Amino acid sequence: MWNAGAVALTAAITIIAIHQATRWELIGSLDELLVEDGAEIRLALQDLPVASKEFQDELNRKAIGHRRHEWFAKLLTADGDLIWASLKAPLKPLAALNRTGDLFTTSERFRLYTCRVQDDSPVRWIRIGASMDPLIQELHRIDRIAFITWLMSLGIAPILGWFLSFRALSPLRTMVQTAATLHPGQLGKRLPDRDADDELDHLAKTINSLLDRLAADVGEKHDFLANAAHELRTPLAAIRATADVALVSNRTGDDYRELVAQIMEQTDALSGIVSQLLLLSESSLPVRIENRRPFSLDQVVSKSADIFRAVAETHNVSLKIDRADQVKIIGNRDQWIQVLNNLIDNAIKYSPSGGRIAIDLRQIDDHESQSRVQLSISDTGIGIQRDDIARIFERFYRADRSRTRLSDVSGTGLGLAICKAVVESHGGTIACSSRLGQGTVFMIQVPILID
Amino acid sequence: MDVLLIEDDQVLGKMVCRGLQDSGHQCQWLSGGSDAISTIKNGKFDVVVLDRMLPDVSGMNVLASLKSEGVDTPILMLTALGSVENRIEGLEAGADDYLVKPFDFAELVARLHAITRRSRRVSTSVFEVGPLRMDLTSRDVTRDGKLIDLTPTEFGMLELLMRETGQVVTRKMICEHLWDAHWEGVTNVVEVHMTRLRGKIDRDFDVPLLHTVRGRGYVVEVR
Repeated sequence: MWNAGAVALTAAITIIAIHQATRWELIGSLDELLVEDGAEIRLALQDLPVASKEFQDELNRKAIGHRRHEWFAKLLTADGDLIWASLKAPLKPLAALNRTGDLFTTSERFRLYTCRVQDDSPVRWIRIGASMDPLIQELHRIDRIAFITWLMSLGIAPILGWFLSFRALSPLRTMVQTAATLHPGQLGKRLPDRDADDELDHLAKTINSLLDRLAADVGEKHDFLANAAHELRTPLAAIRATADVALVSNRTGDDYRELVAQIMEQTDALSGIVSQLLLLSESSLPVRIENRRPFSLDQVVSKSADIFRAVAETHNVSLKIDRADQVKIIGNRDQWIQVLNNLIDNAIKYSPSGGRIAIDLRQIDDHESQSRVQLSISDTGIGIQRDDIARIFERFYRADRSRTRLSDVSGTGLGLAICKAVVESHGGTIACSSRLGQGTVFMIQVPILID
Repeated sequence: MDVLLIEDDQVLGKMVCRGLQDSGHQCQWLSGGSDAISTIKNGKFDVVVLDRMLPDVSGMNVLASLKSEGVDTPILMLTALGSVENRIEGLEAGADDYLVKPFDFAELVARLHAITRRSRRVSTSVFEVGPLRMDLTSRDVTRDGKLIDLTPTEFGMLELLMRETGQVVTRKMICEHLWDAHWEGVTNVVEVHMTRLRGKIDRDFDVPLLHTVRGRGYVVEVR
């Protein structure tokens, strides 16, 4: 609607402009003609007397000969009295003579040109006139054509506009239709890729990559839930079986105590898995501002190392801190305790007797990026297969399922997933490199956050 | 101990109340938070066990109004919300301790003992269990007068056990004590340290003092 209005207005302005321009152009060429004629008559007057037949015939011929315009010439005295008039000249005086050399239009729609002859001639004024009628008719014709064009543009513009926008918006419509069919359970569809390299195509590509990530995340969550349920079912089954055994026949008090104690151990294992799940879920989110506190990472490292050293010794594995710069980071200390414990525990678990575990914590300041902390934990353990390295940070993934024990909380397959979630929620990265039979290095880099 | 239990779960409330009475304590049980404040102010309780999620008033609200009215009865919060953040929130709101469901009954009792003792501000610098003696000032541990060399980790664990002499100390409590953070342990860290500790304080002696309570935890006592 607005569009059509704008088109109509623009067209109307253009038409008025054309009308005016044509009018000036036509009047201009008529004026030129009149001025030329005036000069010609003035020249003729030098050679011929006004009364001569030759002169009069010449002018009358001209008056009749002008096909398109009603043309006439009048010769006047200094006072404005008529000396001679050509054919077709109107009888009554047209206008006062005060407008010498001027070109103007009378109310009778004549274009008049008046010019002065030299003083010694009886003829003082030459006045040439031409009717404006043909000119006006011409203008009217042009106006009619313009008006018809205007009317047509008024009708066509909206249709054309609608058609163009329909064509331009058709990819957008496809997007809307596709997007409307998407829901969390059905993220398989993608927007068409038109290879057009325009804004819409970029938008489609961006939405598609967003959908890819969403689909991956939803799929991961789905698997996670299924795995979590499965992991919980195992200790639950054990609890039930133990209770079953307790109830199936009469037992001594000691027997009961033994069975109930077993149930409690299994409940602890179950509770451990639930805690790990909760922890994983809360560390997947950025650390809430109110829970961010500065703490010394080196203290967390040395505390974990101190506590685990005894465990390492029972496995005949050495655990030492090669370097520990004093670094403070801002975040959730409890979560970092988990990270350290999980990594050290893994390193001990997968190190053969005589193995060595080394921890290195240092602050890295370079000009290119923000100051950061680098923590590496390396072992001389059995190593991880290349195919497994990519997947060890996945939830519930275990490189070696046969090695884990059910009662073992860190055997939930969540340990490294928690590490990754914690490190990433603190804006850091965790990476693993490993050689089979030689050892594994876990490397964490985390920015020193400044609040 | 005179315990006020505020817990809306019928089974849990009944079991905890019965358990406390069985172990020789008084227990009054409310299943909602609305009468909590007047009950606490009128009664003479040693300790309050407060569930965080109650049907009528939130446990956090009860806690806040108790603290604003200057009630200094020690309070242990009980909750199914086990995240670190929830614990911090509860402790910062003025709870003396925080226990996550599911919990061990022995642990509940041990923690109740701990916070009532703390509130009575009995500061001891020497613990004695039979022939075992721990001096917190000099950090010396002796048995029958013989000096025992402990690592800081072992010392910390033994201190916890001796503070709660005769009470079972759970793995969870030990873990929390070791890391000074809520953390349900990995592997067998606690067992490893406990084995070493036992080796140092019991191995060369006839009577064991450090006992494992199957499925519950550890206790230091003369049996």
